[in-house]
Amino acid sequence: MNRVSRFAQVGAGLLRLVSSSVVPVVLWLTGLAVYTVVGVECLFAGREPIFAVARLTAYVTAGTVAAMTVGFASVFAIASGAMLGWLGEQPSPGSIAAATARAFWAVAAYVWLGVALLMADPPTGLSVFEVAEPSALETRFETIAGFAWLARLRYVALGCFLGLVVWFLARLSRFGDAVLAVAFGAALLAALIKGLGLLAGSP
Amino acid sequence: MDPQISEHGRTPRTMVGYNWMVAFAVSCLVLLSGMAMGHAFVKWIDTLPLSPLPEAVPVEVTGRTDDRAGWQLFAFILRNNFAVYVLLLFGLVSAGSVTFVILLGNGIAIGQVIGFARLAGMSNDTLIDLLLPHGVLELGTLCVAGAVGLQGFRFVLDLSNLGSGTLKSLRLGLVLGFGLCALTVAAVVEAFVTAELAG
Repeated sequence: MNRVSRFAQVGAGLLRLVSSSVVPVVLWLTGLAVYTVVGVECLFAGREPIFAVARLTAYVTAGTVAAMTVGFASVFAIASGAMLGWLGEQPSPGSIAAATARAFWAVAAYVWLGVALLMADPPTGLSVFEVAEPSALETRFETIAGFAWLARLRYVALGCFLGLVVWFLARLSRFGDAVLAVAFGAALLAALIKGLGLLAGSP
Repeated sequence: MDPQISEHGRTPRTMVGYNWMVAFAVSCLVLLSGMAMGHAFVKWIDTLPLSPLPEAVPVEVTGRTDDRAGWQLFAFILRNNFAVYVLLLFGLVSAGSVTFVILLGNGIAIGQVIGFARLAGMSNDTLIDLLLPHGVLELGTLCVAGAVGLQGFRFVLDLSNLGSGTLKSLRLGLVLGFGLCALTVAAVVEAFVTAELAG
């Protein structure tokens, strides 16, 4: 009897963990930090100054990527919520934010898969020439499983993220409205990213 | 007591001004901290053992940029700076985190450039000549966007009172218009005056 109640307690705890909106975001951030540290420290392991510059640049870039992801996810949530409101649904802003945050399970799993691949097949250090020459660096990245597989799976992760948001929003509104709201949020975000890319592109 | 005056003796208008000044000061501080970190990083690099670097491909440097190259450089600088300006505003929807990271990252990059230039033997006077004409306007404008983006942190603390009035108080149209104008002037100075001085 005690064992059954203990299993029930563990099950309830796991359920609370899965439905929490903070845990997936923290897991994703932790995964991104571990992925960055493992990748950077393996690749730029040299003692020359150029490696120190490359390491700092990589860490600043990773920080920017993390912050930008939070910003883009917020824009996506606001756009999806606005569309739901326009469709006549009345979910609270908090519930939309929670749905978006919970969908980060997909992104967290994606990043931790990258960590596992990097751990299984750690990249060897780059040479000074490879760091200085962008095309050589690009060629080298394609041969590293932890980077190549993550690049291939990025649309799968994005699809899972959007699917999870639809699933969580469908609990608060009609399924069709949830799909439309997520599609609108994704389209707006894609347009925003494309616009920013064009703005910051080379001449 | 006048209901328009808060318990601290400030009217709503002066409160908005006060919030802006604090946010502007914080964004300047974050940028300056980044610059100090970038500069300190270069100083640390200088203590590392040097090894022979691969031979660099020689680049032909012309003393004077022709008009076409100048305008291309202007467009490149303006597009990049305006993209950063827009990204800084993303702090509004991310509790200021995007703004903080981008300001710090840009500060580190600028600090590194200054540090490497000094390491290469460039005098302080030359550095001031090259950075000051466009730098004051460009970085000042980015700090204005930083001040707007950092308001996102205040919004998160006061989520329940957010409304259309809050959005209006930001005057985003004015902020974007000001940013575009100021960065255009800074890009003109950088592409034509600074490039001329560097040549």
